[in-house]
Amino acid sequence: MNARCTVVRVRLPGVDSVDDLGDRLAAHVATCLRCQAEAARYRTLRRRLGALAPDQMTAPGTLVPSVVACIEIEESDVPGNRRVGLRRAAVAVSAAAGAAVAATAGTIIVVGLRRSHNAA
Amino acid sequence: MTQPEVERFEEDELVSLAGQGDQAAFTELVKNHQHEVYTLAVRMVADRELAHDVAQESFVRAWRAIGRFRGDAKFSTWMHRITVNTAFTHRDRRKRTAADPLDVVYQEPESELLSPERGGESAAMRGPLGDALSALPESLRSVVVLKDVYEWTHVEIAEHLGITVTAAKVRLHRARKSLRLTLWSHQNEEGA
Repeated sequence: MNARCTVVRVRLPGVDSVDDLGDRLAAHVATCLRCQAEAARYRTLRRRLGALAPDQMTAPGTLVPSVVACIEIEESDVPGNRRVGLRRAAVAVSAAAGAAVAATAGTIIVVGLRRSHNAA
Repeated sequence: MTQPEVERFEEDELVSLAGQGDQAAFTELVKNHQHEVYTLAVRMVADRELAHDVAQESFVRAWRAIGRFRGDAKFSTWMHRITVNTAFTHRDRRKRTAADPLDVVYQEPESELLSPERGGESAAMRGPLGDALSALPESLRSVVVLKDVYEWTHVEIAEHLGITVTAAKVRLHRARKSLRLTLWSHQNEEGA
């Protein structure tokens, strides 16, 4: 094994083709049986990995129902949250209105008491 | 129209309806893509239970975002990207909770998690190659799976994994070298 073999070994895992090694190294591989064997291993590895793509596992039967359930919960939550928001807003408006009415009534009573006190 | 064109047309219709809030149409999309999304999730996280969670969350994320899906890419490509992102979210969560020493003590080897006896499923992750893949560290496995199985570019991988293109290339190099050494262990690098 010479220096070029070593360089080929180092670089082979990172390339998709022997041609990507550059002209000099590719020419070396063309004449070196050991490097050809090593290149063939990586070619086989890439081919076998690529062959995995269409090979699919069967998803558990619970996957689709669980996704549907999550979406239904999420969708039912959204208007629910809006309702809660509206309810809170209604309570806040009622409280503000009540406070305003109480303040007005308090003012009227105080003014009335002062007038009756002054009249006396 | 050819069969793939018909399927594409039907899928476009389903995507369009789902984008308008049609849950039934989206459920059809989930049924049509559940196996490929689950398979990608298993290949990314090497754990069937976690892959179920990743696939489930990926579809829920897709439902939330499908109104913004413009159809530039195929729905399956879009789902793949969501699945990869979700897998990495789960990985990060797992890293944060892995500080518990009990998790470390009782953690099973990944190759066992993917052993055929436990799954009884297809050859997608079985055999020497499946074992070698599942034995890789997650950072290397994800890159080699996305590049050599799903034919993503280095740029796409770098974007989705939040790493540089150089880092993606380095990880691919290490992953392939590790797989080569595992699969042809009787034939060392000297070519003996």
